[in-house]
Amino acid sequence: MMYVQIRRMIDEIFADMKMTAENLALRDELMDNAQERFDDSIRRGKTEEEAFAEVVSSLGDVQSLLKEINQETPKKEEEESQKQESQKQEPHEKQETPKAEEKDDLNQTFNKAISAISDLSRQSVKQAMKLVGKVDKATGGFVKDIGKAVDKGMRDAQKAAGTVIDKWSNAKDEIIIDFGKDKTPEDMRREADDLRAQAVMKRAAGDEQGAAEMENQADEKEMQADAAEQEAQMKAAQDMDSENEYVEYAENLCNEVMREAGENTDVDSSSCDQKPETDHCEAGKGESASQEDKQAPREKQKEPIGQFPAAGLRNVDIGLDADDVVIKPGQGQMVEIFWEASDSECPKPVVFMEGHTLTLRRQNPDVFKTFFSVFKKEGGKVTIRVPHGYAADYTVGTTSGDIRLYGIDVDNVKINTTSGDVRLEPDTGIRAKDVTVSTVSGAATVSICAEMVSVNTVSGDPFISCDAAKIDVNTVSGKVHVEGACEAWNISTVSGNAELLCTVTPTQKMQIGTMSGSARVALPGDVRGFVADMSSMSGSIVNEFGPNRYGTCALPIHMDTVSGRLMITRL
Amino acid sequence: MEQVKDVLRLIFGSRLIVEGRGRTFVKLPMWVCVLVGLSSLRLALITVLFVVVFGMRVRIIKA
Repeated sequence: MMYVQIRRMIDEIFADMKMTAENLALRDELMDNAQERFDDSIRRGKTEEEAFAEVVSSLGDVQSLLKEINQETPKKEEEESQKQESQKQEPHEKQETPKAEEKDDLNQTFNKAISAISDLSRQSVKQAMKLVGKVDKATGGFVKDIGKAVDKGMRDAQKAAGTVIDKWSNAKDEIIIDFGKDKTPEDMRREADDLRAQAVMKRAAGDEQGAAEMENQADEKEMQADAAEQEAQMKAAQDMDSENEYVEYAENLCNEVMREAGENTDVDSSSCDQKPETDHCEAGKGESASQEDKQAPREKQKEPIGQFPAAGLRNVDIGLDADDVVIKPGQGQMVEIFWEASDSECPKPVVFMEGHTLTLRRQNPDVFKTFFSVFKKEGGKVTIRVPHGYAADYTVGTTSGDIRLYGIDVDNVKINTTSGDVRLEPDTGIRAKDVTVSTVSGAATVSICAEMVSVNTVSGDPFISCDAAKIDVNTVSGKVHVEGACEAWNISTVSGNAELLCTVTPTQKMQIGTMSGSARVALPGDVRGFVADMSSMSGSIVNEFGPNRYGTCALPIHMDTVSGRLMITRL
Repeated sequence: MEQVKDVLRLIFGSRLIVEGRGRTFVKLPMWVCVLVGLSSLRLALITVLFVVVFGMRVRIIKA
């Protein structure tokens, strides 16, 4: 037991250090020395606690020494980064306006709130685990037994509930109670016919006034049916339009690939290797052309509201409420902004460029509308086309509007939304610096190559595919899925399940903490080794690799949960 | 008696989802929802009222 504590303590000392061969050797040596010191103390007749205290005091000196060594390099790096930041900030400071400051304050407050929630969840997990551990110890494993029994009971209940749902919903897998079921246009027309029939009866009975009222009602019903039909057609057209954007992007990519292939090789374009792609492209063009014909009336409703030269663009700052935001690649040398709204009364956002910052804002945000936009989507859609090769920092914030950003070059990205969904898929050929996505209930889909990726949600599901130096995911009840090659992983959930697929073995550390959610880590089959520290109060622990200290490499994997299931599997 | 058992099974083994127009407002295990509803009946009633007035959709799915 004490050995485990000593090992955990040494792991913590080395937690912030990079797992180089030297550090690993040093750590193993330190571990051996500490264990020998502990054994010696026991042999000298000391109690386990006294021996452990001696080891702790001896490690205190080593810890301070290691910190000094470790701090030398970060200090230099900090100085350099500070210099770079001050150089970067100088021009921006001059151009800052009160509006931008206000927006920054809001963003900072939102970020602080989200990080406070995630910190709270992280701390509460630790505190709860400690408390439950103490109670469990005091009661001789009683809590653990109860936890296992509850876990088994819940599983049985879930199976039983599945059969009940099947029974009650005629095997439809879910019971649906819909309070918003609107009457179909056919129903309305049928009602109008009934009303007209009643009007005829009344007229025959001599009640002219009643008959006229009935006919008026019937006319109203007819008009409502027409309006409902038109709305349904508009919605279908809007859905088609958003699909077309992806088709357009795929087409551009296809064209680029063809162009590059044409430049790099002197092979004739009709060669066998390239023919299938050409066919595919042509087919795509043909298909999209026909779709364009169908969508021509819709495209006309896209109204240009701004055009600026891309050469001066450094920052894009968007703060909207219920409006959807789409940022996608454009052509030429200009940044183009389009506005689209199904409701013609919906006011356009204000667009202006100050210095190197492109800003989009609502002129007079309507708080009432913003609140009720959560129930029914108001607002329109802003589309920004940024040409390739102009990497910029993006700060996008909405209340309920969805945010989609794909195919463009980015440096730093900060996205905040309350209930909007986020889809972030920048150009994979570019390595971004810092990417932060914060949502409350919106889902976050991120596919990116970056230095640092941070995703915070409360109930939204993060789905992340990335190549990053560090990834940090915090959620309360969202279901986490992360796949890719990252050096350091830090995942924290309260009740959400976490699934981590490492396509390349991490080099620094993996830290996963959950309260009641299960966590699964899939490592590559050829992993050199790892040291897993997995603790669960009532959930089961599975390690497909066998021992928790596996192989020759000492990659630290810390997994903590209270009632969830922990798994380490092969990819 | 069998129906009571079914209801209990639903409470402990299913999830409740309340959806608006394109937005999900509640996605929680049913037992948590029942607990919250019992802890404040007034809050539960107001919530039900909102669900009906705004024409939301309630789904009970397998956990």
